[in-house]
Amino acid sequence: MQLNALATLRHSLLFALLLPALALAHGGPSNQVRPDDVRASVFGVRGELAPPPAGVADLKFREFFRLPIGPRGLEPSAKLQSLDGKRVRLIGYMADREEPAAGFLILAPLPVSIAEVEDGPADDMPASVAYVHLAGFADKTLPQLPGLLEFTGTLRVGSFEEADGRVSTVRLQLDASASRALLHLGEQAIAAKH
Amino acid sequence: MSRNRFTRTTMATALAFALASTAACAAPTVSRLTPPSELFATSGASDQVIARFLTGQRFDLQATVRPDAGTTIAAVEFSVDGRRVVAKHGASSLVTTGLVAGLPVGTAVASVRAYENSKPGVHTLTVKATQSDGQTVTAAGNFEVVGIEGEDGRKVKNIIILLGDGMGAAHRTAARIMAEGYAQGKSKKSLAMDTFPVTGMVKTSSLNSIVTDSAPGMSSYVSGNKNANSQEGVFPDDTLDAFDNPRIEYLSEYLHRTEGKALGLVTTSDVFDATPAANAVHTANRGLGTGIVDQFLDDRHLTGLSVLMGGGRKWFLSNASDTTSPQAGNGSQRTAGSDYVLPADIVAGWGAAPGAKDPARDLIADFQSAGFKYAPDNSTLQSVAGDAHKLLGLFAFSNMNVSYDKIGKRRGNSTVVDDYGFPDQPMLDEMAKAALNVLAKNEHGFVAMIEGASIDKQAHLMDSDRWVLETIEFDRAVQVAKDFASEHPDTLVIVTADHECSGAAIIGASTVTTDALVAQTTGTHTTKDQRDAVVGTYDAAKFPAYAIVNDGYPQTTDIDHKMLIGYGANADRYETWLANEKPTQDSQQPFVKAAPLNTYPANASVRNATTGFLVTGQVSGDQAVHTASDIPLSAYGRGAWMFTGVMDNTDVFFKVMQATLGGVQKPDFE
Repeated sequence: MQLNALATLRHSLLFALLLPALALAHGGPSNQVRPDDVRASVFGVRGELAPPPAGVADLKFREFFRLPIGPRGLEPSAKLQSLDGKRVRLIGYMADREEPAAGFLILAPLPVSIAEVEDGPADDMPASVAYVHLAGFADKTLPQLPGLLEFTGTLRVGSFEEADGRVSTVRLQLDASASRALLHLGEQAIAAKH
Repeated sequence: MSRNRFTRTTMATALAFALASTAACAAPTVSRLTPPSELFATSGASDQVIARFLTGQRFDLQATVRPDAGTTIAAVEFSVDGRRVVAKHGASSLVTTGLVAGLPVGTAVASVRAYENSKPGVHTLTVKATQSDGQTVTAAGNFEVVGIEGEDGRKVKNIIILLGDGMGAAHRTAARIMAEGYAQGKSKKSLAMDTFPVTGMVKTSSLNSIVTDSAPGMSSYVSGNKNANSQEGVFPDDTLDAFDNPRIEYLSEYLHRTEGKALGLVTTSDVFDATPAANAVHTANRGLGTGIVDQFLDDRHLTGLSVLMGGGRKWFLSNASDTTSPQAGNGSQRTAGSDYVLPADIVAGWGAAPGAKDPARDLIADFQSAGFKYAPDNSTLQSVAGDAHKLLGLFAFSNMNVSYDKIGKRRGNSTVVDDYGFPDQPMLDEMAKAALNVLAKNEHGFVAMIEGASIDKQAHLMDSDRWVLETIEFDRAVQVAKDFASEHPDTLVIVTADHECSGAAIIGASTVTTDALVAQTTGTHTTKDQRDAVVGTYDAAKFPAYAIVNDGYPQTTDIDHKMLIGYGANADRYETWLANEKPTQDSQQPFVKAAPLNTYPANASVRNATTGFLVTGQVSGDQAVHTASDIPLSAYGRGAWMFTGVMDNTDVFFKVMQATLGGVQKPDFE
């Protein structure tokens, strides 16, 4: 964890130095949406969370896997499996990735920062994360969204090969309007820098 | 004479100079000669320190040879006492790729695997390398072969090593004060380890530092040789591969090969951790978990492994995706990057399994196919241990929870183990009992290593209440081993540590009540309040009296006027003197970042930051560190007397082997 933090710090410094040249080219730490903008959007969590709308179930990260842990490792909980294909709301943090992939973000139960180039497959991310996929826009990379976020979409449970080469267990597929709104939020951030 | 049995004989220094000086005038150079010796390191100036091997104990010979620019190394040959060493078929190599940075082009690492020598005494090891232009270089080192004396003494059949990781004298004392109580200046009762008839003091330094880590700390006891920090069962080399280092045969391997003894490894840590691994697996990187756990099974024909118990289930689960970020859907930590493949010369020389990079391997299933009963929790352990001839117990994903929290669950007043997802974990004494029951079924005897791993881990975290309870739990396992030895008199039991951790010391006792300590954690609290008004030294400490309940542990560690612990090797911490309801996060847990574990204190530098006073550390980082202080060793059973005095940790290996192979001889203290 210390190594990761150091690596991230090193990268932040690097970005600060190269900022004029790289601000547009890379979705790294310099390319972050302002916290106020996130909070003001439909994805920001402000104050007490309202109950989910009709037809949407809340799912917590701690509810992903069965407890106690099974003799052969983690197993998906009955609740997770029962929500496969259903509309679900997840609350979490966007994993801050050194090399963000296009078309999705990783939602984690707490803020994590992954220095993939420096540290390789570090074990900073817990098993209970969700890959939040945009509808379309598979070529669009999202800037970092700070703070607590909420996403509502269709839950998929299984084993999915992701574009970054990883295998995920839980996906949340956003619908077209949410995807557009998310992309718009990201583009605002990029525009605001000019 | 027997007094000098384990000390090496002096070698003729003149001979050393003659052999080493030939290196100076040749063009290529020998920059490393293994086994390491002062003779080689000082080019013949000194021969005071020397690697020692038991008669017939196998080890690898290796040399790193640097050629002149534009040339290569054509041939390397080793000689012992002037006689050329002929490797077993396929058991030698000349490696020129995959070397560490900074070596000249063409540098070669030459090895002869699994060499053995049965002639006691000091031997000269010479390496002669020939360069492609015909120039040669010769360099010399030495090693000693220690013989076994007598064949007629009573022999030890079973060896039980109880390893309290990080357990120095203070850890033992603190456990005694808490568990046994003091009055009139005397302890009312004794710890089990206090009742052992013989105690010695052990020097713990590693090959490359006065302060060891747990890998060489353990491997010194069971290989008779010093290893470098973070390495186990090997000497350092100049290649990048962590599984190709020059090996030294372990106690388990020697005794399985020659006597058919079984090996049992029992720990409260993750089973891949340094202490258990340093009994059976040879690697230069103690962190390569996938390869380490694979070799536990793959090389059981070399070690006799029959019992493996502890935490670490995450290394045994199939991970087809080969990524751990995020971790696989089943929580697996297996990766190709931490797995092993052995070079052909090690496979040929040692008969080791070649290995494969197979993160998708289902290692639990492979253990079961090999005849191991698998216990994922204490209930299963209790039901299968009776009939099992081989036993695998994996009670947590990484390190097991500590006794403070396991006992809290059993008493119904803590949910920590539930938060971790493993509500039914055994105590170390329960694991020890099950392990000895299984191992005793081997008619040829056994080697058991039983580790109280979190004495060290909680001392690192400066969580005083937790490491004292870990020591009490460990002592209950000591009692199990002592009982076994009483019933099986051909058993030797050793209680020791790999090193001291944290510079722990009992500085006195609180002069106030628990309520007063709690009151100080709110509102304004100052060092004056929380230290000066609380820490009772000398007479003011009196005799803290803990109430011990039927399960053997204190009802609470937060008694009025409780014992207070200070640290001489500490990092910054905030101190309230009160027990922490929640343990400090263990970064090796797969779910440490997920609720609810992410609500646990991250480390000692933030734990109690709003409730305690700051004790400034003498070391950086957020953990207390190991120290070079000698540690106590106590022995019981057959051959126990041999373990008195001040000894090096490598001496223990030769004493155990003498008692096992040659038999215990009468003491000669004159």
